[in-house]
Amino acid sequence: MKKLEAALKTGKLITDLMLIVLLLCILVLPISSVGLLQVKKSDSDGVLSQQKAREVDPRTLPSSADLPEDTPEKFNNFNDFENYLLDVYSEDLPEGTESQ
Amino acid sequence: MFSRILIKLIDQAIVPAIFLLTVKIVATVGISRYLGIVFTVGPTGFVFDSTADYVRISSYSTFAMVAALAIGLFYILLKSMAFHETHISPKMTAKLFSLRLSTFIQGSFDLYSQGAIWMSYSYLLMFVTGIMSIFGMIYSWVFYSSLILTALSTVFFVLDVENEMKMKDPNIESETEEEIVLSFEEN
Repeated sequence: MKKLEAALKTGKLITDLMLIVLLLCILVLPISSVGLLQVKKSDSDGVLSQQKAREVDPRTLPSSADLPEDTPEKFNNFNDFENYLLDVYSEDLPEGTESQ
Repeated sequence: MFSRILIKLIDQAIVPAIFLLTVKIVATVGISRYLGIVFTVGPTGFVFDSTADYVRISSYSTFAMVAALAIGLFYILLKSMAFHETHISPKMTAKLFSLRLSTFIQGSFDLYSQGAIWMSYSYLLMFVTGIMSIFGMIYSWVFYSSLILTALSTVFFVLDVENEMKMKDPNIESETEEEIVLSFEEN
């Protein structure tokens, strides 16, 4: 008799737990619908991922030792530096190489 | 007893869940069409081309959910404050019966289980909109509207529960009510 009572109690507890889980699932269902909206992968990625890797052969890059003496210590941004290099080494660039 | 309450809560939670889900989907499609924003429907949901469009539609559709929640909460609070079985006025009872709207009169068990479910949705939506607002996924005013709705409905719900407790507890005396005893005697 005691065993039966214990089994009934356990069964009731399991049922209650299952009902609680079911209730929580129902409660979360409409709230989770906010995740239905998404942005296209390419647009949602950061700015860095949008920058395409430049295909540059490192062997063609000049070393700092080859730079002219009047080279400024600082540039405003990378594009300025790139333009400066193109101006200086435009004659040395291999054929078919285009500035971006 | 515990199972009975849980079954009642599950029973009461299904309709609001479907209602809110429908509102979200219909609002997303409707507002996108109205604003002329293009989206595609993929296996994971609605996909928008730009982040700005996503934030716009997400905000407006979530606000539609808050509005739907407000309607539901208003209905429950109206029932619990005006048509509650324990403190409905005799005049109102007669009026409702004459209008064949006696189903509006409900007991505490039904009203509080419905109220608990709607309040749970309100709190959950408030937390989710808060997190989304922090990460810039929706406009912050959507979160504030959800916060105001939750705060107001909680206050009114607590007031009704207090009113109910006063009626059930005989130790709490009401200050305004005057007791009149009629005695019938034979001459």
